[in-house]
Amino acid sequence: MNQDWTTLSLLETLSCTFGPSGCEDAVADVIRTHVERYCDEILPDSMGGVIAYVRGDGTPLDGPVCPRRLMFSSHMDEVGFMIRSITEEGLLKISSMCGGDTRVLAGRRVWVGNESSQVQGVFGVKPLHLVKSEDRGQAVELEELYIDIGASTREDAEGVVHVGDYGTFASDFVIFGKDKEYIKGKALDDRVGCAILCSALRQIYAAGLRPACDLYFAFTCREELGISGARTAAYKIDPDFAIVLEATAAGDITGTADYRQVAHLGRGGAVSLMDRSTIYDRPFTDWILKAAEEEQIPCQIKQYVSGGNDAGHIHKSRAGVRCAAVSAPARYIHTASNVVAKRDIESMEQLVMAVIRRLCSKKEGRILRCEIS
Amino acid sequence: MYPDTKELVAALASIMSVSGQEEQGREKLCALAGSYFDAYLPDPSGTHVFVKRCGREGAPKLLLDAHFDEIGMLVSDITEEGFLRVVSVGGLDRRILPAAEVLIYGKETLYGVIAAVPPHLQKAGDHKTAPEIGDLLIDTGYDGETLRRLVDIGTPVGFYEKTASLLGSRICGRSMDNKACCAAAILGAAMLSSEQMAWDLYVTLSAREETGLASGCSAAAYRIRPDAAIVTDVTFAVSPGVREDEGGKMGGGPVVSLSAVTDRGLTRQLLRLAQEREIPCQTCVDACDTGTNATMLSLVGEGIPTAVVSVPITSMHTYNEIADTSDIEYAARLFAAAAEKGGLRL
Amino acid sequence: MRNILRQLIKIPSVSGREERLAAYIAKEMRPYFDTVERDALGNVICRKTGAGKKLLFCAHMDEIGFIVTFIEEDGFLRCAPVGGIDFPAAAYSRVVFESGRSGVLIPEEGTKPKDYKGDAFVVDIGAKSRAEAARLVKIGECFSLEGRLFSLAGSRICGRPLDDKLGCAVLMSAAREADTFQNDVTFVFSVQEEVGLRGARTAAFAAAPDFGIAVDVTLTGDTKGAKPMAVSLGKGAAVKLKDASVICDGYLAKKMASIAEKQKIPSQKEILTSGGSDTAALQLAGAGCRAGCISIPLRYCHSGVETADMRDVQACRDLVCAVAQADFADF
Repeated sequence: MNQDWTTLSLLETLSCTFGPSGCEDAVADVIRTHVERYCDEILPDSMGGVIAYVRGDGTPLDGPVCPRRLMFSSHMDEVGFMIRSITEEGLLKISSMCGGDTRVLAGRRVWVGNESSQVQGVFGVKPLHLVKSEDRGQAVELEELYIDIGASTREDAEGVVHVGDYGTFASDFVIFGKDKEYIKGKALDDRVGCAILCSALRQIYAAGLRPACDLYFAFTCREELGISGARTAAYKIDPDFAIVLEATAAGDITGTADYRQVAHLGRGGAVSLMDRSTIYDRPFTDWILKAAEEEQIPCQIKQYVSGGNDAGHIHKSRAGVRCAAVSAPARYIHTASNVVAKRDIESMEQLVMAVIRRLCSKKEGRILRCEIS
Repeated sequence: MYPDTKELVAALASIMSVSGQEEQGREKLCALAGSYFDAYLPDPSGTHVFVKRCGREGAPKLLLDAHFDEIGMLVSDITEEGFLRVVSVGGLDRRILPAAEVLIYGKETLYGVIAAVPPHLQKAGDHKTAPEIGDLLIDTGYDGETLRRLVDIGTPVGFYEKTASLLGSRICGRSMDNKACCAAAILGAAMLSSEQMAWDLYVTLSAREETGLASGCSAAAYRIRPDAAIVTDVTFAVSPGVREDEGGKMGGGPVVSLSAVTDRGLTRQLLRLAQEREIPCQTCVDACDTGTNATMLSLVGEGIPTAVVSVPITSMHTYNEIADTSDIEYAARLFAAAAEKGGLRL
Repeated sequence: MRNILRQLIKIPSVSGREERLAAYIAKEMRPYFDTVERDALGNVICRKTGAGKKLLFCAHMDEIGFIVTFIEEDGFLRCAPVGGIDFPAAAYSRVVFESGRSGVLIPEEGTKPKDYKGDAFVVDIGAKSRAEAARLVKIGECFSLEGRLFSLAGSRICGRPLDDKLGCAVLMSAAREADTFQNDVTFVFSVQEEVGLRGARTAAFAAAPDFGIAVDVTLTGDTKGAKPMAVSLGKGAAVKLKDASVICDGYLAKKMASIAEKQKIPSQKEILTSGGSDTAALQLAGAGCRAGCISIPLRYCHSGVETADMRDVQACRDLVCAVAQADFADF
């Protein structure tokens, strides 16, 4: 499909923007600037998220279970860390915010700072030569890791970085592989979802679409911490349906048992049936799968129960929300080098637009209503 | 006008408030703190809500939350021989329980001692492991039959140690976690007069924090719908085993959390305010989790901007936690400053 | 009561797949309530308006089970547990799919019982190839150990899933007395308890009751080698004081215990040190409520031979009715 590759350049910008959990301001700015002309209103969000609102045509389909408000949700934050203290020598000690795997930190180049400015640094490690031979096979402990920003004293460092500042990976956006099909970058989990939602807003605007129900596009904060700005956003929006666009860990690499591969790059968005946080609404999920099938949009079913996402909070909001989730298969998530396939992003964009177009059509929208009642 | 800090902490610590039993303390608490507020609102969650109003219609609401509950035990069984078995409520430190003195809040309040096997009767190696809570027995000095009349399954059990003075401004005793912070919140309100205030101040002395779900705090906040919130709880004081970047210094003033789960703007305002008013204050990084009510509180409704201000204590979750009254007083000044004109902005 | 239970056990209802059971219960409950509705997550919410306090009783419809995640080349199915599966207790058992089709749950050869967990298991449905299996079973389809019910000595019954179809049966039986309820009473048959108390939370949010009372099973201290616990089979309805997920409201627990005493309904007090219940979700939803739980003592919970005493079940039913009829004006 000959696609408007604004999405790709927006994804590059988003991937390279600084946005660890709790400090997503710069990402929010990029998104707000991009989408404000495409939506009816940007709603305030107490957590720092962005909620873009597209008004429905005001004549919703009748019936108690016809959607009135549909929420899309993608998280803006990326895994990161926080500066815990600064040593006499001007080195930074950290608290991790990306789980326990220190192997993906040691030796990496990083950005540290806050919402207004960042500096580069490097995760230093003790030279291999000085590590006892029996310890060379061991991962570096978090306590041994430090960031060197080039400062030689605490005062030097404190001139540019403060205790409580944030950090993330520094990682270029690289397009590689056969037919330049693969993308590598940091934070593709879940800037991919953000880019697709931005693209959907742009297409709705360009085509002058007026869906039957109100649409809310929530770009949320702090998903990686498990506390989720999606929870407060869902409370505010009070949707009856929600679709979470995510990135999910793809295990399609040599040596992983078939049944643990979860999802495959290149086979389209992975639709979740169940994960650790949510059992997805079956009729709604089936409705989405049917849309994909009828319009011949590649998509796959996530074939393993693992992870969780914003849906875990959204489906339990207020009196309950029917949720579905579609994720871009992504290799090596929670590292500096996430890898996704262009084709999957295209497919997910098409799927989101197919869903939205069906909600614009009285006939298709009614199908959703009937199947669920 | 202000209550004496040590006396206030001691009086608060003397009110039994094992998680889930907080409501029983209502009368004593109101007698102690009611005069510093305009209203008391009972809450079905067990949280005690005190309100001090600035007198302006539609003023913004600042919620100051200090959990009122304390760790303890519940009686789970009464043996024929007159011993009690218990289950823990909250994270009890099993290492310090043998021979600990307790109070059993039955029909009468009974004194008891947690049984300990003397060294002479132990098997080799016993002294190296902490006992399981389920294996502990409490000796009350009563026979089984009498005990059954006085105590029931579910009767709360708390520690015995009363508040006492150490050198200087240091105090020790049971339940500094979190009566030290309850005292700071009450003291802060006592320092305020309605003319000075820019906010309506809601002090929630909340229920069931130690059980981990923050249900008391969240329920009350859901009713109050504050515009901003400060959670005050204890944190680790720098001491043997606690590094400087893991806690705060005793006597160095309240510890403001720098965390990805709290509100950055509100946190910065508090730090600025402390500096302007020359209130000693320190910071500590709690990257992903502050270990307080703040996480759940910030997620109530459409979200509440929340900051965490802690009082450093040592020996947390033992029956002799140590705090410094100067930290409590500095925290109180910071809370008062926050609610004043020229204090926190929306 | 036994007949109600037998009907409920016949209809599989793995968490997230309670649809059929919900439809059955909703139909059965309609005669007794003013309104019977389903909410977004699938809870069945039955309301009988009244003058007194707003009381919500909640029993969960879902049972633990499995979900198909992958089909192997050779026709074996891979699965993931839904809820707290005790794999050693589930190994080498017959399982039944949503479609009614059977299979057997088998650990991979050579797996030691201590390593029994989801990834070590496959289901053999008799299919010889991936293509054949894919025609018979869909990825995402759920299954569970076969439901059954039989009698032991005296008033003891055995089978699965008694957790928490016993609770549902208690409420369905109590519903027949709905005319006598003095309070504003809502019965919730909740979804997804076994995966994290999810349904009760949204139901309680919408109902915003004054008092929320779960009706669920609890463990006992009277099995061989059990940890000390003062709950026994046959000693009546257990009024919960605490479990690992919740500390119950003290006032409500006292009130329920005193109602039981006055009405001469056998009852005991329960402190459970492991495991949770919908009680916690009731306490947390929205502005919260005074939450408690009437527990049915159950041995061998989450196995294929869960064992209960019908006298306890009857006591729980009587206590539900008595609480629904009680005057809460003293609070």
